[in-house]
Amino acid sequence: MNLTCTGCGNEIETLPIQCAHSLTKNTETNQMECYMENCGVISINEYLCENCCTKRNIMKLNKTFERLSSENEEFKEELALFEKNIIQINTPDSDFKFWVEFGNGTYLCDKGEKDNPPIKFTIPKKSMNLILEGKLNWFGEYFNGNLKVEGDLQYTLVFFDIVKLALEITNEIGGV
Amino acid sequence: MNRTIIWGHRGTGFKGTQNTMSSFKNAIDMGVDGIKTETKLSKEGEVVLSYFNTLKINGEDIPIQELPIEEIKKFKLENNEAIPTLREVLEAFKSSNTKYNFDIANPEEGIGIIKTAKEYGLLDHIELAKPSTRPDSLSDFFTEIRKFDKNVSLINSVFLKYSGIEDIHLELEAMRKLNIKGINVNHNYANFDLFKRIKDHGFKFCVWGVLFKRSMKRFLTMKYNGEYIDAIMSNQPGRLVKFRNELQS
Repeated sequence: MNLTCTGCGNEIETLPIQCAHSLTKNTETNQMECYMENCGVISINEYLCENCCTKRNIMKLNKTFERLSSENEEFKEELALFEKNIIQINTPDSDFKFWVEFGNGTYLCDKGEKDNPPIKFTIPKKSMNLILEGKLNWFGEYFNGNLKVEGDLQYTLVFFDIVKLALEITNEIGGV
Repeated sequence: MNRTIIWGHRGTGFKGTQNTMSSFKNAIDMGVDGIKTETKLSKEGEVVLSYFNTLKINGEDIPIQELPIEEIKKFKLENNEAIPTLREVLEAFKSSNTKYNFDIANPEEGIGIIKTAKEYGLLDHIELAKPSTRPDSLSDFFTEIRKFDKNVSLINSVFLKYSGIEDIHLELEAMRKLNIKGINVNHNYANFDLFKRIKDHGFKFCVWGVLFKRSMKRFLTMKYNGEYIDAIMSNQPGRLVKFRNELQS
């Protein structure tokens, strides 16, 4: 069976083991599904390669934080303490680029590039994904040279503190 | 019982222009116990309070240490104030009992601070800290300063790369040999177990980078042997002072 990624169009030659082990038929949609770690349960008809799953997960987490900033009073209040800041995040291992704007009570994000961002990160997408999931320490990535920062380091600290806070609140309230 | 010392980072942290006389004054008016910031030396060895290594003058980035104090004083920060010298700060706030914690880049800066503080009789108000971004050993960083002055308070900020802080990362032998008073850790690594371990070793426990209400409350209520955490540094010093005054009556 040939599988094609619906994200990038590349042919997927090998199924990840967790997908192969969890392959089941969804009786409601009449489609085969499997569990892909970063994508959750995914239909074979909308299958994404690992690369595209990671990108999707990064945006999903950021969008969760964006929603949290409009729905959770504590998060909103903490974000109101800062003036608006923009961080442009580029991944050197693919052409994936996204930006985050935080401060003035909001957290906004989207794919693509912002003009003249005051802070710029270059980081492998897998590392970024793990940091956003709270599974990797950004300091380690910074001192290992995997995370490169252009701009004010103190707002880099703030950004990752905001991410940590967002994760804490999300876990406490059982998701957004 | 002790009360946690509150350090305002570069003055009032994220409120106003950092490392200016107005920011320091506002922080002191907010009720902080001290100012934590970075120092640099001018060409002739005058201590100035600045985070920047270079200043952009006529479109060119010039290292502060290559600039005479006269040139540094002409440089305007974003709020149009000049970069303050250590002398100006010590003079301006000498009646307020303000403490100072300086992240230094090298022994020469530390010695410059000691000399200036002694002129004002304020050496006991000064702490010199190894920045947490520096991987240097404590011996390499502090030996020359300790030889120069036996009494100045020294602080070890644990290198940020060490996420699970073990005793080996604290350099306990060097801490004792160099008479280093305290250990400063980023709030992401600070917890009750580390607090207890550091206090049991006989050192002050300080936490830096605390921003949010929930972490402020967590650290301000953390107690071991009836003692609170010795010091907390924040970029939101106003709310930290407010919570400290409420929670540590």
